[in-house]
Amino acid sequence: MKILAVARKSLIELLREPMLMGMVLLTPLAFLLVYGFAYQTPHLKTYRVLATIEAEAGNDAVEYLRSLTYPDGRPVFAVEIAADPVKIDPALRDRAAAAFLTIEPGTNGVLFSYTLRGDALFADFLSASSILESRLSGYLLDAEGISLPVRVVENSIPALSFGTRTDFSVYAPGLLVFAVLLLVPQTALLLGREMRTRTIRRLQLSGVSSVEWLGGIGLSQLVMAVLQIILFLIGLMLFGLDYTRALIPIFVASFLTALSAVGAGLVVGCFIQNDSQAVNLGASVTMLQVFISGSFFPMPLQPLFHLFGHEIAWNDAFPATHAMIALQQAVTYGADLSRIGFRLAAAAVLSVMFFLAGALLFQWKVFRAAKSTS
Amino acid sequence: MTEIVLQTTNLSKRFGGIEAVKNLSLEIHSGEIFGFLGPNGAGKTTSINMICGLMAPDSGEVLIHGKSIRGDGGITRRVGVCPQEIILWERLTCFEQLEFIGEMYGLPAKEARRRSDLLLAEMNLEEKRNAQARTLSGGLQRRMNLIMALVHDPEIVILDEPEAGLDPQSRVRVRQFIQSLARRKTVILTTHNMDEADRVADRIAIIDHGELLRMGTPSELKRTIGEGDVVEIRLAGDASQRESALAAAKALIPQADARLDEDLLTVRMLDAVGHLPDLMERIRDSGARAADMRIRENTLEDVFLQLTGRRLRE
Repeated sequence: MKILAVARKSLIELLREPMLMGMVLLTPLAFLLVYGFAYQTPHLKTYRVLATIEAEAGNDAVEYLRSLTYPDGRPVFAVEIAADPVKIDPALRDRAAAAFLTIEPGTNGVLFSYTLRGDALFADFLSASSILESRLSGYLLDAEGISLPVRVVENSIPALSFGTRTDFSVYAPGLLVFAVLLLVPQTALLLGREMRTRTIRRLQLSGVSSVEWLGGIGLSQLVMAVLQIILFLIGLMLFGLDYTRALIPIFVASFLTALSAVGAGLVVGCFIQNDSQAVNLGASVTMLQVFISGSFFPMPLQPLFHLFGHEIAWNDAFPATHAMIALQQAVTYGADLSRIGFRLAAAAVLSVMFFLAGALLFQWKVFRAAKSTS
Repeated sequence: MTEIVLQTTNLSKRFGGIEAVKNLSLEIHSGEIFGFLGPNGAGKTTSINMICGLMAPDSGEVLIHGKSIRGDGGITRRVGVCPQEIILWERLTCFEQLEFIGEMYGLPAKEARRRSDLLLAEMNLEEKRNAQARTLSGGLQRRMNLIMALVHDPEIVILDEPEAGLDPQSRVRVRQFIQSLARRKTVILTTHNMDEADRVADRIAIIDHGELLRMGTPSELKRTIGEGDVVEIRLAGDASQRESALAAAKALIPQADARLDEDLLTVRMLDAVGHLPDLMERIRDSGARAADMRIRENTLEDVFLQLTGRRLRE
């Protein structure tokens, strides 16, 4: 079976190249370590708020804000009186403080009035101002003997099926997509090397078909992908993320991403001449897909149309986008196959299309010389 | 008469404005070692690429056992090609390379392994069986390059400059190996090394600028430029004295073929030894002096020189 022979040969070559294996298997684990330690706690921050008090009742209001705590006892706000007005704007601009609160004398019998300033593009300001507004409004109404109709409780959102949602659990799917997409430069590298050493000519002479050869390379990369996914999932477990109930969806989504990555690697392979070009172009394609799929940062996109009740934007043309959403649902909320069926189906269809497009393009661009005589 | 294994009819190929191969027609017989002799850029490799099916000709046809290779997927099993450049998988061992390429040619894994060990032994490479290709010396890599073409036991073996870049020890080993293939296989050998072609080939085609100039056995080819031996005399003296020496040689033996190439006077004639004392005297009389002298037989280099007016390595 020629496909198996090509896959075996490709894996042997990879195993004898520790640098390359390290890049593919250990880079994602390094990211996992960094993110794991940095974002392991629930996203309940203590917001630093600068304040100036120009009304007598303001001092009590500030003390009230300082007394607010999360269920685990941590304070919601660290309110500091701004002694030097010159330092307020730089602190807001540099995001050293989430918000600036000014408490002024009230009118028409109201205890005090207040204003909030901050950077509207800073997520901490949006969170802090929302809490401040609700708490101070409640405080004022309470002072007048009126109960606030809405009760606001700051708490972490529990995941649907397991554990507490943390920033780490939010970032983990993106890291997994990134890890698998590293197969793009690696696949391209295998092709680039065959071109540089001209071993591709031997393969052409042997009469092996492009389907057999590319299929073998694809198979070897999928074996690598399985290794990557297993290692990554072990890493996630070590950081306390229990995803075992969503194991199959996670594995399916990752595997489909790998298939699309191999396809993209084949496309890259059509435009390179050697190893270094493979790595450079392959890494660019990986990073582009990582960002387009929203793996690191969400992409604010306008939906173009709806399909089976799902909003579809231009970045949905990439299988990694669907895989990312499916993984997010599975890793963060423990969603089962039925809940992410659409995303997995979309990722599957697009991944197969990517792979076939890559294989056909490579056949046309690289194998055509041999084909022209048969 | 031996069977014609491979035939090309009016094979032509152009690259842009350059006609790399022009109406090449050959007949290669079963079990012979057929040499393709020509300088670099003569069109040898392009011809080989068309013969092994790697490149489509613009016109003409390649026939194996009378059947066109166009559309014949089985051609690859019958032909083994050793390319001019070393083409090996750097991180595979010698055995793994052979086993892998054998499987690519369609051999069952067990047979590929058996053939691999056999060829490693034939080429004295058993000790390097488990060494990665990148760790081999240039000579050993060349030997590997050669047996990679044979692992699937092809009927026709095409060797493109197999002795290029070889150390003397490897050259001897490779030459013996090629000669050992004779009669078992049909071997097509391209080379710009006249000595290699002369020693190894049964028949030779001389090709230049994409055109077949002459074809025959080495002795037939050498006879085409005349019987006898060649006297080569390196002359000391100025240009006019050397020209006088050439004129004296022509006057002495009018039927001889005398040429002057810078300071090298070449005279091809029958009974060279008998004429030598007179020839040396005439040269002295012309004012030139023989700094060095040798007598040798005709070579393929002389044939090429006669046909093209230039040497193979020019």
